[in-house]
Amino acid sequence: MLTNIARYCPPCYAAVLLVILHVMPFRGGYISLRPTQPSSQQRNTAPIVKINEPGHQGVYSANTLVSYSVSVSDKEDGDSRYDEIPSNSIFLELSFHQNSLNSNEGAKHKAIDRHGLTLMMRSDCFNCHQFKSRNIGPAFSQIAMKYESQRDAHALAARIMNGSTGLWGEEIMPAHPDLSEEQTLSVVQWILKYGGTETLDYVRGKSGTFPTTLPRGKSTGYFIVRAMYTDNGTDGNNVLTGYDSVIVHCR
Amino acid sequence: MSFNNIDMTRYKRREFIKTSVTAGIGSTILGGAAAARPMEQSSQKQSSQKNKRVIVAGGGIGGLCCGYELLRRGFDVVVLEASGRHGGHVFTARDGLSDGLYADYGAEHITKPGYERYWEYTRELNLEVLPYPRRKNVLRRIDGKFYTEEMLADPAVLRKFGYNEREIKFLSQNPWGEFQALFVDPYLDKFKDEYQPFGVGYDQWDTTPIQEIYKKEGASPAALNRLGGKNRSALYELWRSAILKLRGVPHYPLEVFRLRGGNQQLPNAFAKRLGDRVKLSCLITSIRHSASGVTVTYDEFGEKKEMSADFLANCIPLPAFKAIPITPALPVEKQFVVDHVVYDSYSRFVFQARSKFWEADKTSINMDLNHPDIGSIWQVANEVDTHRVALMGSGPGGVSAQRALAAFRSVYPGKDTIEQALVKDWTKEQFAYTCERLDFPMGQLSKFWPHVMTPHGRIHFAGAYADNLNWGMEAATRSANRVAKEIEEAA
Repeated sequence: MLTNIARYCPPCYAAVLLVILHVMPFRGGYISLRPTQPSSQQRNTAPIVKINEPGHQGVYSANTLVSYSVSVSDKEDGDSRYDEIPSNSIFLELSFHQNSLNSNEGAKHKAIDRHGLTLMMRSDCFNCHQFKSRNIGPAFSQIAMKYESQRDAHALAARIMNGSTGLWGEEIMPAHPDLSEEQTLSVVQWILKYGGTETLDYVRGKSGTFPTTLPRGKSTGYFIVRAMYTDNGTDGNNVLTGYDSVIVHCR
Repeated sequence: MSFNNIDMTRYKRREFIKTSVTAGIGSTILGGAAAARPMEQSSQKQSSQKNKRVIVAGGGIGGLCCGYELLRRGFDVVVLEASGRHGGHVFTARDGLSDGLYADYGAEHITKPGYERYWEYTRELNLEVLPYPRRKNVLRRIDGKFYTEEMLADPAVLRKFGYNEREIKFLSQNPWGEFQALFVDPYLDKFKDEYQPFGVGYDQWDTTPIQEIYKKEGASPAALNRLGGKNRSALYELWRSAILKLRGVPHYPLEVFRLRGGNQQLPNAFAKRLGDRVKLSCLITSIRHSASGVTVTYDEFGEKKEMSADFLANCIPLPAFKAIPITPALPVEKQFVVDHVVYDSYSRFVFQARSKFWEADKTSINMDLNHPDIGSIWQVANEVDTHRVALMGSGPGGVSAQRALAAFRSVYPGKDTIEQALVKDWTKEQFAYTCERLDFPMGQLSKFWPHVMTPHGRIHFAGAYADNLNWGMEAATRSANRVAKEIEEAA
């Protein structure tokens, strides 16, 4: 069908490609970091991600911990059941929304631009930084609060590339020579854009718990819980991210 | 006796800790001298405790020590450890090394004085302690140049660094690592009880940077640059120094020790005596508690299980513990501690070399390199009968073994014979990246202390985070004994 659209209406074909790239179906799917094109050189298969727990549309108390478990199966990387997928490479994104949800409304919410986030998930950022709480390094929310303006982005990107210490304590952030200037800038821009978002949080691991912490002044709402895994691609290129989402209501 | 609201008078009465510290000997109240062990109890109390079960959460040295002490006291003990090995951050490994060489990738050494409880265990469990010369003849790289200890005691050298005459006199007569003592010693005698930082006259200094004390004591700009302290609480730093002084331990002990075969020998010895009471690959997923007991759910290789007990001793580091749902919730002040205790974490490198190459270079291999990728290096496992040597280095998480080796080679003033480079990056740990607890933030000591130790109902807290001084194995063994005693009194 897509071939016919491309043949008879190239602008329509372009529009369809844009929809495929930017509007994700609600349960299950994947997104590529480059346009999907048939290619004899592209051998990477997208990972299959599934949230086993909690169930879709479950109801939980606000400000508690909800147990979760995610399974990932990737043709090239392996299966999380056998620890072939590192637990720390599986992420859960939690985005809070206030109004009660019709199951079709999820797609209408503004999608988060995850390019910088994907680089962070594949690098070692989350080994030392959490999204909201300090652990070894400052939380991304603390960084976003301290450097509110994108004009600090280049200086921060240089710190990631070259290493840094002393700004937040005595811990040392090592250099990241495997990241280009463009990539570190993308990471910084993501942190500055999203780090201060009160309705957003991230946890890591194939199983564990996530908090249903409501933003100030809110007593009910729902979370879109999105599990993500970005595979290793072919020699680090053509990486694909698989995902799955559930809705969790809080009262 | 209620354990919900522990107050400092309980800890003032804990003379067994103070007397053992000031006397520098093993405490009779903590468990008795080796010859008197196991602790004698009435058979009636022991048989009543045999009906009482304790779940110990976490199989690191804190959890294993706590389980061992509870077992000795007649309790039915189960230790649940999430990972597939016990020992936690006390980790001795031989993988990748040859000729029987090994390395302690986690906890490094003990001191004497200090670690009194630990020394008792080495006697009780027949573990051999070796002197560890890692802090002898240290070469320090400062601003790109190496200095011997003699050079750093030379007034001419110190004057060039910018130290003032008082500082020069101190550094020419005392080890380089003791420098902080020059500025804090005058304040320490007000602390009488190492568990009581408050009410000695310095409470207001919790919001004062320790750097202000250094300035008050006439620190030069060079001294301030070296000591830092702009964001560290003066009360916390003075208390910490006072703990060391009360224990008779220097700020930077030069005489340190380790176990033959690796420091993991001690947690292994606890685990051996616990036998199949230690359950591995058991990840705790929830805790329910009441006035009569606790129920824990856990995941064992994907199978969901449940276990009930009379008490729970949490020996899991708090960043991992806070992810476990607890019902009913902990009190606000306890939850604050659980949510806000932070730790350091790092990489440990091991280089295996074909020879003691530094001897040909006429230098010491105990080096403070002060390179961002590798901070220091020293020799380990020197009793192993081989021509090969193992060196250990420390650096931040995220640095690979080869990058650390390249960093070493970029500053080492000679030619090495290194043939293997390995790394253990603790920041990548799945369950607990946590090494040692960091300082409590300025102005918040009363939010953390003594609540970090305080039990809540049937849940007690031990581990490297749960004592006054943050030295891992010291805090773990001391707090494990405290909790075993708390539970014994509560049972």
